[in-house]
Amino acid sequence: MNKITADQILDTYEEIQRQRGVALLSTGNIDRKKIKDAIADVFSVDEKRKKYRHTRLSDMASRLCFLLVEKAPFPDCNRLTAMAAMFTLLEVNNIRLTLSAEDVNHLYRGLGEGMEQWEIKDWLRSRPGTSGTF
Amino acid sequence: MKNFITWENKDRILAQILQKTAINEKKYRRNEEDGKSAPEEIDRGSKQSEWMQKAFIQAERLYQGITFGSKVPYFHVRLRTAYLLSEEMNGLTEEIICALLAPVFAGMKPPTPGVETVSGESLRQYYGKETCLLIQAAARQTERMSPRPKERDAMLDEYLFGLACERCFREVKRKMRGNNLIIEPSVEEAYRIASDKYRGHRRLSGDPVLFHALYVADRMADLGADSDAVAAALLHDVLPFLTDREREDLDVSVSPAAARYLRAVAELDRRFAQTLVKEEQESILSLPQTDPDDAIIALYIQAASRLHNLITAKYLSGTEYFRMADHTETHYLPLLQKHGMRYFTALIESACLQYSDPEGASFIGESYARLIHQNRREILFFEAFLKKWIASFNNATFARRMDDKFRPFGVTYQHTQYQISQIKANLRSLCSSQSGLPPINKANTPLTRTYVILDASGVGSPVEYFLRAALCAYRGLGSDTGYLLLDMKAELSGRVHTFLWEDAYKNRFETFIALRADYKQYLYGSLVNFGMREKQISLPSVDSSEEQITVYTPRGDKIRLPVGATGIDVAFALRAEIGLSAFDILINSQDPAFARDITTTLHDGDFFYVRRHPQETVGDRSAKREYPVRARLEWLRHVKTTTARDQLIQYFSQRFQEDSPEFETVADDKTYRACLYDVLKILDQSHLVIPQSGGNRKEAAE
Repeated sequence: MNKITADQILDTYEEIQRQRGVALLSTGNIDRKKIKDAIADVFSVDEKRKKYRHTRLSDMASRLCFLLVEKAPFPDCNRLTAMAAMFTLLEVNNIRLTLSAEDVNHLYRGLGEGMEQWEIKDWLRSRPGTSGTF
Repeated sequence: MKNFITWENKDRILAQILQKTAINEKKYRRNEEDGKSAPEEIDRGSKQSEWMQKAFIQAERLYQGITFGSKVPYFHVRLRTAYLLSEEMNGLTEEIICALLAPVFAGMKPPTPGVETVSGESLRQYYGKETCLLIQAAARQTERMSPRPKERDAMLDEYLFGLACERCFREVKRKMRGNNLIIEPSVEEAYRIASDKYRGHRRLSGDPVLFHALYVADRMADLGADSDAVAAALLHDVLPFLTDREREDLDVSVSPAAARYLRAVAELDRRFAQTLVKEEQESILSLPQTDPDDAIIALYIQAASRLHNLITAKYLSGTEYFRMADHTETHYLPLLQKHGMRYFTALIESACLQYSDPEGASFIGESYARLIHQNRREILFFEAFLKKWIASFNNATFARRMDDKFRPFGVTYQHTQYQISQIKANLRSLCSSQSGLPPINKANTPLTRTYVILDASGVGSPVEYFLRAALCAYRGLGSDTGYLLLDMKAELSGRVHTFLWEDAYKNRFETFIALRADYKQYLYGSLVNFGMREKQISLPSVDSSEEQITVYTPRGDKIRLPVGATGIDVAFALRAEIGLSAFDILINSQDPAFARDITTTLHDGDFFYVRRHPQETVGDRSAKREYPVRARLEWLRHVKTTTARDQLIQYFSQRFQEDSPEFETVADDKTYRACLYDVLKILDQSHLVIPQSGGNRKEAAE
């Protein structure tokens, strides 16, 4: 399994901002600790069983998205970054979802209305092409 | 001339009835043993002929002087029923006695004084409890139904024939179960419809029409047909009896497949009724709006039906039987020969010959029987030799290396059969020459045919072993035993082997060695589309491409794989669990000492057994036991099939995801970025990210 790091999530945010054409004046108002906490939570290990707490990849991805939205470490674009990080985590592990514009918009709106972690997971697993195997 | 039954010759008929009933009893008892039902309490075999002779004499006395209809002696009427029951419908002793004596209890009084009257007591004393109950039940049935003697008589026959038909239907179902087929409700429903519609209808021979349907269904069950085909066989003549509404409802009431077959049978029947030119005959099976497989099944049903019609054609009047034989020879036989249905071809051929050239047929039959009789000693000796040879072969070479659990050499069912009455070779040329038939020649007629049927369950490749043994033994045969192996050929893609032997007296023996499934295919031709049997008896591939090989499980199931496939591929082709927990593989051997690594490459025609445990032996596989997973990542290098690769990848990816922090890696920045751009592209299309320009992205990607 391929993990991702807090720095890479920061990269994601910066890349999004760049694409949006917003000038990055400083990164001082980004809460790095929150990002690190989120990553540590997602990839936390049960020492006794020597297994990940969130056993499936879909668990991890949805947890990452949920935590990033909930903790809101960035001054703006939290939802977008969370979504990008989630999809990238899946992509890094060779799982590519077939997404339409409607799907993405639906998730984006849902995150704004306070989607729970399990809802995100269900949404992920119900995408066509994956058949809930990850 | 034609052999009509003359009812005056009572002794001969009695002898025939006794003989046939003894055979039926034996058959019935064997079936009961197979089905493990209640065992026989008394030795019926010794008593049954005695009982029947008593009943015969008693009936003759009782019916003396009674005539039926236009001065036919009533005894002859009863005799005819008894004869039909024994000859055509596998009647048992009780039913024969019942057919003879039941009218006495239905109100008929003994006409002549001084004759010993039959009472319930004496019945029980003579014929035992079962027969007594059966007779009384039959008498009650007939008495209740109709007061008039003639109708009462018909009712009685109906009742007895009904009993016999029930038993035949049970036999059909038993055969289907023997073929490991599930009996679906469609069969029962078809039997119900058939027995309902055929009630009261008789064939010219006197037996009920239902029995004809059952005969055809029986042949189909022999062949290994599934429920739909058997249901269609039961209903193959029923269409004219149905209303339009019922005909349309067959899809629902029986099954869609059976209705489809029935339509094909009707269409084929219509085509056979026409006079066809040669080109049309060749394309007779290409029915409009019908699947070719359906047409083949329809042909099976038609062939079985025609066979029964020919067997009972002696009851037809005038020249009708002659016309039927002629029609069969011109229309059916070429088609059956074309499709390799040897069983039907042989039987229909000899039946036709009996009508078209009775003298020739009887001459051939008699001289053939004489030849067999003269050489009986040699034939028996040869059979003993064959058995001894197989046994000695087991002990000497293979028993040491095989586990005791296996039946030696895989001959779980060894069965020899002599097809004496059927002279297949040169039958036509013998009969066509009108000016004196040539004498039957030992050289041109196979004298004795022996079939050694091997059951492959739990054994590697018995045919192959046997062949090797034959080749080894052949060298020493000539001098020691006097048997000479003349010819050896293989049919059906090398799985039915024929040996032609000659002994010191110039007798010839033809020995077939085959697996049961292949033997059936040899007999019945192309067995296509028969449900669960399809897997076992699939057609041999004519154009076997070089890119694929066929390997066999111990049970004889075929598995097609690409060239270069290894044990891993074959294990995954069986089941995912077997693949994951495969330990090693046995190829063409049952000896654990010869087990090979699971990554060994298989070759065409190999028999294999995948072991999941070091101590596992062939046939030892139990579903309940849990085997540890032995799959390794290196296996991915040895797999050929996509199934195996997918299963392995799925397993490993799941395992790494689920419980393996030790396998974790951190995605490097380059990969992460590449993935990120892909994701952002998608988000971009959703108008969530509005790019400023493409330049940045290009730079970053570089």
